Amino acid sequence: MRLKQSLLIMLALAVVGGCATTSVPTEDNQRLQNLQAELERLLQDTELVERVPLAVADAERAARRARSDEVTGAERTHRMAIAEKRIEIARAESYRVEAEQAAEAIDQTITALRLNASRLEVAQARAEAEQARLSSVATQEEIQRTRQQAMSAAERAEAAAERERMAREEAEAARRLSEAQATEIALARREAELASEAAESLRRRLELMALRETDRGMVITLGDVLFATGETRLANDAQSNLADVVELLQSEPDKKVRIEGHTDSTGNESVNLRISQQRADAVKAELVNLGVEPGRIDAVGMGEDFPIASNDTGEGRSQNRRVDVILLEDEPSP
Amino acid sequence: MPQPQLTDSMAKQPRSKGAVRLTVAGVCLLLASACATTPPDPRILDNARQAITRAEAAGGSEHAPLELRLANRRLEAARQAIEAGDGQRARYQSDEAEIEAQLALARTRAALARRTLAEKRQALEALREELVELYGPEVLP
Repeated sequence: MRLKQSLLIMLALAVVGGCATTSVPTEDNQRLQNLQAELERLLQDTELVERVPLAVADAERAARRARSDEVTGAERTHRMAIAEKRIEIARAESYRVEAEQAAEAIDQTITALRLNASRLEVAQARAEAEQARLSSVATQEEIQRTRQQAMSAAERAEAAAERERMAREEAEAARRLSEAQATEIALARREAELASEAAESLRRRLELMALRETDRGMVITLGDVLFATGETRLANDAQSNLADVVELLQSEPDKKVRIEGHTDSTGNESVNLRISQQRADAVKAELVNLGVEPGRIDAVGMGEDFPIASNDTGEGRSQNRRVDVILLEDEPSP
Repeated sequence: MPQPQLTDSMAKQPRSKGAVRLTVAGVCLLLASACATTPPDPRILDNARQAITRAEAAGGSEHAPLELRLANRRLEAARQAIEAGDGQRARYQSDEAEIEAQLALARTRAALARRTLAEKRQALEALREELVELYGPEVLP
């Protein structure tokens, strides 16, 4: 009370002092009413009061100071301004706390989410591990099977390649062989042809000569075509006939040759013997002349004693006049 | 003995005497502060300055620029009042600058809290989508 009195005195003195501002009560009253209304609204917001009780208390105190009957003029205006700001500060603080509380709730939600996630992750990992364990055998088998399949496939491919390679080689060899064979065959055929031709030629030419196999060996009978009757020299065309004989003899160069001269029974026996000798010699000379080794040949006159046909007919006598060239069968030379 | 009497009288009178003295001193102070030509103590600006500094440090220039401008204007007015020797006005303006700076700080902190809240909401939504995709809706609390 004493303080109040002294304040009043001071106020009165200040007014008396002439420097104090004259207040406009209606304006101040209106502002005070607004201030009070704002404060009421603040206090009615129970959530806000709960959030920022200290700020609300500050605002309340400031408003009370502004309402004070003991203040007027500039002081009251000042106090009202302060109280108005206190109310605004309380509101701002309330917004802040509200946002902070919401953020904290979100933090808790995030924590709960992460917790759930990690639980689920653990559960999943456990399930996957179990699944992996359960299927590991099957997986191993599958791997083994796949590996075997791959191996057998590779082996099959390799075998196929091998077979193909061998087939190619065989085909190549066959081709080369067939080429060679064809060449050989052609050569052989050619040789055969040539041989055949030669044999044919020889055979045809030897047809003119009588050929017969005997115990002594092959006997080639040269007919009386070689000599004119009573002559001991070879006829001119005899050489071509004897060439065939030489060829025959040279085909067996190791065998001895015996030349026997024969006559028919016409005329003197001793003459016939001599003639037969001479004719045998003539043939021998011609054979030597044609290239036969002289040492191989033994020329003998046999006379009229070894006829091969009857001396009663002309044809028989013609057959008996002959020279036999004998290719002796492995008979040692005398 | 005069001394006890004196003591007695002094003991009986101190309140009224002190009140008179206080009143006289208050009147003198009031008169001096109201109309004195000697400048008031500039330290009355300190609280306002500190409040403004705090609000600026918290990011008030971005989130409560009007309040900060008003606070600075009131601080300047208070400074001018000190220069003018108007102690009362200097005190009023200084106090109002301080409370304005406090409001700037409160609104700045509220804005920052709301921004943080918005970021956390986005983070939560992203996390929720990610985890639902990974683990299905059963992950939701």
